[in-house]
Amino acid sequence: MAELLRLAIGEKRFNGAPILAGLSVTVAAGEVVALVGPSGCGKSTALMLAAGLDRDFTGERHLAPGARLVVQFQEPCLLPWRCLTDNIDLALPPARRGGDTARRWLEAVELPAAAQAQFPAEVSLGMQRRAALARALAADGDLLLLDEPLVSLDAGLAGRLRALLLRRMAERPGLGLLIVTHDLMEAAQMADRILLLGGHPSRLVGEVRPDGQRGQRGPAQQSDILSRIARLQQMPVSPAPYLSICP
Amino acid sequence: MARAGLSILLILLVWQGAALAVGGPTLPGPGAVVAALAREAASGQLFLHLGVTLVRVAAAFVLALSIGTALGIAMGRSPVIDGLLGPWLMLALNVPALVVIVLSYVWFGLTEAAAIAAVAVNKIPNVVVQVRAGARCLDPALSRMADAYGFGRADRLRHLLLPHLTPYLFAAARNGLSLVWKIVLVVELLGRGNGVGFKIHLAFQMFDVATLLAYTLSFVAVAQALELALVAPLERRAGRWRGVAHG
Repeated sequence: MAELLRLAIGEKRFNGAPILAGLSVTVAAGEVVALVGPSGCGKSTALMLAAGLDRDFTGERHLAPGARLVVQFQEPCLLPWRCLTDNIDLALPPARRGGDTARRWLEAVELPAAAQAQFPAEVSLGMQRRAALARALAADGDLLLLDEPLVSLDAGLAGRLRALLLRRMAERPGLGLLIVTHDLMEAAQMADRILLLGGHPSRLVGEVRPDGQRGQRGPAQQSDILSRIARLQQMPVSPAPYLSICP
Repeated sequence: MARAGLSILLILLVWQGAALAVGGPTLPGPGAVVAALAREAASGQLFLHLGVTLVRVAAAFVLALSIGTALGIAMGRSPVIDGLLGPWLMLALNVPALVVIVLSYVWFGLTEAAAIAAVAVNKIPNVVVQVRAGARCLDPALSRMADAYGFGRADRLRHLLLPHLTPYLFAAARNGLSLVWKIVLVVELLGRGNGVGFKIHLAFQMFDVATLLAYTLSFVAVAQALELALVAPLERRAGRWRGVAHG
């Protein structure tokens, strides 16, 4: 599979203090990679480096030529003075605006027509997050970077949106997905590879390649994945920047 | 509304009382001012001079607001431009209006263009200060979102910067109208053959306080009408997105 993104972080400092030291991430076409770790470990920072929105780090970043990259931020980051539909429309290239793309994606994330015409401040935070997810999907990139996309949603809805993401992966061959999450179950269900961050400053603690097809793993496979993650979390942090644990 | 009415009534009573106590033409009462107003209106003089002054105010206001906004955005978003123009701004803010007017008349002659330019030059630094403050506090998260979704220059201006600057622009417009009108009178007094400032000059030479107050009050009424009919409704419309969040 063609590699979409390769990011090797030597060190990333924030206000002078190192927060990331040794992390390499690759995402191939058709692959779902989950970046997991405790809150505050620098997952979102790593995602901003992957997106190319923050270039202040030592290391390398390579995006496949011609590949379009789309980011969903941890906060909804919607324009407060534009309604939800316009927010999605504005994320499209000018030639694709004004059609029903925005409406279709808002419906796909279960935002009804009445909510679509509202300003972000008039809907709940969960609805704003869903609109932000719709925006990322509508923008139709080759590589999707999602930062905790399903946080603060109820379990049923989160499950349906996970299914939506995996369906999108199936519909659009070659799409790559890098998802930052603190929810290990989510990673265990969705990812082809799970990268585990830990330590101070954070580094890659290990990588888990789950058995079975993503989205179709049974309870036994999921608990196996979780116990492998737990074993890695207990290991002393290796100074090596990249440690691959493959079955 | 009732309180405002009571307040105006109180002003009229104090005014009438003071006029009775002082006596004579130095401090005419409300009745004498209304009589002067009626006389000027009947002769058509009031509308002629008020109209001329309003056109000058409008021209200087539009000029100052557009140039000031462009400069304020440039200085607020670019530290280089801010560094280069900062000292000029301090200079411009502190040159007396009278000096600018006199220099403009001396250098460019007693012309309409020189008059309007002098007023605009007096107002521009205030607009720059307000717009620059607004442009500096643009939410960096929204700015990053615009980067991530590839907003072009036009989109960024129309959908990000200008909506964000709206409250600052309304503040600048309100201050602007009051300041510009005051400076226009000075310009008219010094070098124009018509307008409210010219009439006030004539009234001053004849110690005709009633006419002076009649022109002043009529412009205050026009300014208040503009606020109620134009500025306040526009501001309400622009601020519709500040809805109440619900969860």
